[in-house]
Parts: sequence; structure tokens; C-alpha cells
Amino acid sequence: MPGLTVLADANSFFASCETVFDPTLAGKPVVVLSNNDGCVVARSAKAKALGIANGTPWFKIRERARQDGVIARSSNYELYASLSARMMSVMRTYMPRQEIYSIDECFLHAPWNAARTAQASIRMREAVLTGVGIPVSVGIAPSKTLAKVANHWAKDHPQEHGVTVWPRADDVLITEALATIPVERVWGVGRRLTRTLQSMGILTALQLRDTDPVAIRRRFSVVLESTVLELRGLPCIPDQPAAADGERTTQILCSRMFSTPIEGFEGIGQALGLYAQRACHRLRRQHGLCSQVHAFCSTSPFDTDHHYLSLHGVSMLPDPSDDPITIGRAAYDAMRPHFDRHGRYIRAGVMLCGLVDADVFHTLDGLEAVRDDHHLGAVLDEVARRFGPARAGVGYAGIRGSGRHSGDTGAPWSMRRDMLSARCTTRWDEMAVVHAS
Amino acid sequence: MPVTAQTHDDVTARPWCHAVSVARATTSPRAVPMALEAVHAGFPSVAQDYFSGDFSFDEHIIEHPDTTFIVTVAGDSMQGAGIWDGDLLVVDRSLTPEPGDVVVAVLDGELTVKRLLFQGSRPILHPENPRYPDFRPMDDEDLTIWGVVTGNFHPQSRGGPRSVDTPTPRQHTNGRGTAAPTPRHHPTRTTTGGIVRGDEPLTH
Repeated sequence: MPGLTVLADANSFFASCETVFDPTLAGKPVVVLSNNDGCVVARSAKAKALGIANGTPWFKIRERARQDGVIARSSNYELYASLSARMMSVMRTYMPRQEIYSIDECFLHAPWNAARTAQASIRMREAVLTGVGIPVSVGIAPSKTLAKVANHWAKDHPQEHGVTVWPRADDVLITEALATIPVERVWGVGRRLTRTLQSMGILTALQLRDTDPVAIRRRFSVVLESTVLELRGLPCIPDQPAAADGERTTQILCSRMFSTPIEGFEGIGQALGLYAQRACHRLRRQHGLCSQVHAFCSTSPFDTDHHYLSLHGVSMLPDPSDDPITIGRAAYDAMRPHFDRHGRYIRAGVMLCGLVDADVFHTLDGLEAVRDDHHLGAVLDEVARRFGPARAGVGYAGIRGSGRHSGDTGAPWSMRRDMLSARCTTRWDEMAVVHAS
Repeated sequence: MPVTAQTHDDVTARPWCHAVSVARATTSPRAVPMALEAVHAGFPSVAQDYFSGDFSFDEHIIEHPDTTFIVTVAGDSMQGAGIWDGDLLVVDRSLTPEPGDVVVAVLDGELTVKRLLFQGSRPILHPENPRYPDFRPMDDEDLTIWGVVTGNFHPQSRGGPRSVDTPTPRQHTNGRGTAAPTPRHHPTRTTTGGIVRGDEPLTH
């Protein structure tokens, strides 16, 4: 296949998003925290320079970080999703065949020579930076795995100005670069594999590239063999266009931690009802039907005063369904017989399995899928779109109880996001303010 | 854009479609599809080929949706350009700012709306209200233009957007400890139309 693979990846995406509507953050150490403000999940360049690692629990570094002038933000998923969609859409206009790989990175196919691809990439990078306010780095190479390495190279070397072009895999420059890259930083090499590879004396990306691919396949897998071939410049990894849209072919999972533990079935039922509806929303979005509904909940593994409880139940649906009432009830029924009322639960979730595509699902007459024929799901989606989440729902669904505790779920156990920035692009009442004074 | 208007004219001009306009004139909107089916049994509705939804205000005023943001205004320094406290601004970040453009600029980390003028090659941020001074960046000072304002929506007494309250910026978010924007006041001076592109001549 002629042409080159381009990987565009935003620099510190979540932290960059926070800076778009709050320019005071520019050039400052910024960290973004996970659900319930637990761990650091993203860091600005300055925060990285301070040695803050991803995954660090916030409470452990809070005092120190504040002294260092670190600014923390809760994850503002709505803002990130909005800016991601805009960024991806802008990039789509510069190159064909976009494969959105995650919220902040995409592969593109450049059907041109290296010089023209580099030129287009520079313009694309500029357009995203001015138009959306997000800095991206671009790696250009003959294969996806090499494009990933080139992208890291662009990020680590400011003299590249955000665009690294490695048009030929046998280039001396690439060989030199691969020699400096630890094997665990190669795309597709996980932590577990790293240990085994290291024990075999394979420490760098270059050493992995120069290992016999057949031996790698025998010892490990076809997947790692593709990685070796990709490092040699042979594209082996096919596109998966739907993955980043959240389309899932095997399961849909919606689970959260609570800000305060829940006791009793009523509270857990409320959470399960809410998560079932969210999962159902995603199921409808991908025109799917599901045939199994799993429900689970667990207590804190760190709570030494109580036994650790992890409960799990399954409901099999008689017919595949996308109906929020059917699925909500199934989640509730799955948990009920297993529930232990003595637990203080800190997490619950719903998983939809046995997914089929609604468009291709046909059965004999009389064995129809339990589809959402009353369009309740569509109505709920529309209500949420117009009036915000948790204004209407099935069953408990997070909106009962005394008073609305949270704009997202209505419930007191909703995740804590104490340092949440304004959702400037998705909520009218949180629109950015520009000053005329 | 005028597709639907033409459609309507076309339809009413054709005698065999007369029932369509009669049905539309009835008070119950639900009668329309029934009348279409009943009157034109076996005869397809001509109107349906023409109608594919009303025109979209968004599409009409937003040329680059990916790079356009809606923000709200706090303050009275741009009244001379027809931009009032509480108005909605349409800001396109993809446009290259040109002299005379109303822009959103970054001043002291704050998003500010001003008119961009030039004195020779030196940029000036000019408020459209004589009570406010011009801002002239120093030689070594970078001026960051956040986006170009392509229009604003000024709500009239009843025609304002549905329950859009002036947002209160979260104190910890903007990190500048500013007070909430002054409450929206309804100016006595009126501007025509929703989209105001300045009701005074440009000063450049």
C-alpha cells in the first residue's frame, strides 16, 4: 500500500483542554485527576518536569504539589469529548482515512511522498492549534508502530517542532532513535511482556526489531510478531475504525466508584438502574441488542475493619433487547439474590454482553427481539439532551431521594469532582465568559 | 436557505396541491398527514419531495462549526459595537484576525473582547466605549488573539434564548478570583435583528 502512516496525538490532552478556556493555566504545572479526584491521570509538561507520575494518588502528593504551585482539576469529560470531536474533525479535512484510536490520537493515511506529507502535517497541526487550541504532535512513518515511535520522538525533541518524519524504515536516523527507546515504550508491548523480553536481553526497540520474527511468534504470539515486522516498516496492523467511537463488539461496561459508600439494596439498586440506562444508551447508539445483563458491586479492599465483598450476578434475557426497562430490570434482578445487606459498597456496575447488531438480527416469527418499540430510550436521550442528565429515568435511576445532590445523577453518592472546570461547550449555564471591561 | 419558502410557494401555486394548503390552514397540525393521505390516495405528495427540514440558524451563522465557540459577555465596554452585557458571542478561532475585527484576546490570562486596530504595525485593543482606555501591548509583550467574533446575539425583551442565565464562573476555575459578571441589564437602546454586526461605523 503506497503512502505513509501518520499518527497525530495531542500533547497532554486533558491538561491542554483545561487551558483552552482558562489561559491562566498556560505554562503552569497542571494535573488532571481521575474519578472521585483519586489519581493523577494527565499532566502538563511543567507537571511532568516536577516528576509527578501518572497514577499517583492525589492525596499523597497534594501538599507538596500545592507548594510547587501545581493546579489540579477534576476530569471534565464533557469538555474533553467536545474538544476531541472538534480536533478530530479538523484533522479529517487534511488527510484521508482517519482512524480515531483514542480520545486524543488518530491515525491518518497520507497517500503522498514524505515531503508533501510533512507539509500537510505542519498545516494540520497549525489548524488544530489555532482553531481548537490543542497542541498535537505528529509522527510519520511507513507503519503504525513506527509512526507511534516517531510521535514520541516529536514530543521528546522540541527541535522537531512537533512533526517527525521517518519515511524509510532502514534509515540510519531511525536505527539510532530505536536504540534509545526502551522496549516497554513500544506500542503493543505490555508490562508483562517487557519483563520476559528483558530476561531475554531485549531491552530496546532496536533489539526487538532485530529479533527473528518467527522466533518471536513461537515464543510469544502473532501480535508481537506483527510488532517486530511493523518496526521493520511493514504495515501489519489493520484499521479498526469504530473502536474509538465507543463501539464495542463484545461487551458494554458502565461502572463507577461512589464518593461515599452505599449501604442497603435500595441505594445499590438506584446506582445499577442508572448505570443500566447509561449502558443502554451506548447500546442504542451502536444499534445493538444485548442478551445478557451482568450486575456487580464491591466493598473497599482497603477497609480492614470489614470483610471484602465482591458480588456479581447475571440475568439472561429471553430475547435480545435494547429496551431500557427490560435491561434496567434485568440488572436489578441479577443483583437481588446475591446481595449482602451488611456491606458498605464503594463501587457498582452493569455490563451488557452477548451483543448483536440490531440491523442483522432476525428470528422466526414469534421469536422477536424485545426491542424498544415504544421509543422510551430515544425519549430519555432527548430529555437528557434538552434538560441535562438525571431529569427523567426508569425506576430509581438516580433522580429520587430528598433533593438533587448532583447535576449528573441526582444522588448523594455521585462521584466527587471538587475541582471541576466549567463545561464550556456543552452546558449553557457554564458557558465561558469574556470580559468587556 | 430559502428552499422551504420556495417550496411553499410552489406547492400553493399548483392547483392539485390545493388540499395541502387547506390542510395547513386548519388549527390542528395533526390533520396534515391525514389529509395528505386521504385526499391524494395513490397520488404522491409533491411537497414531501421538497421539504427536508427547516433551515438551521446554526448552519447559517456558523461557517466553521469545529472551530466556533459560543461565549457570553460580561461588561459594557463594547456597547458601541452593539455588544451588550450578557450577549452571546459567536467566536471563530480559525479566522486570521484582521484590522477592524472584533476579537477575543487574552489579557492577563483573561478572555477579553475588544476591537483590534493597528497603529502602523502595532496592534491596539480598542474598547467601543469612551469610558474605557485603549490597550497597547508593550514591545516585548505577546498579544494572544483567542478568536475572531463573527457576530453576537442580543436578546430582546421576550425573544431571548430559553432560560440562559449569565453563568457564574467558578471561583477555583478561573483562578483569578474575579467576582461573578455583573447582572445582565436590558438597555433601552434597541438594535434590530438578532445578529448584530456593530451599529456604529468602524473606527478604523
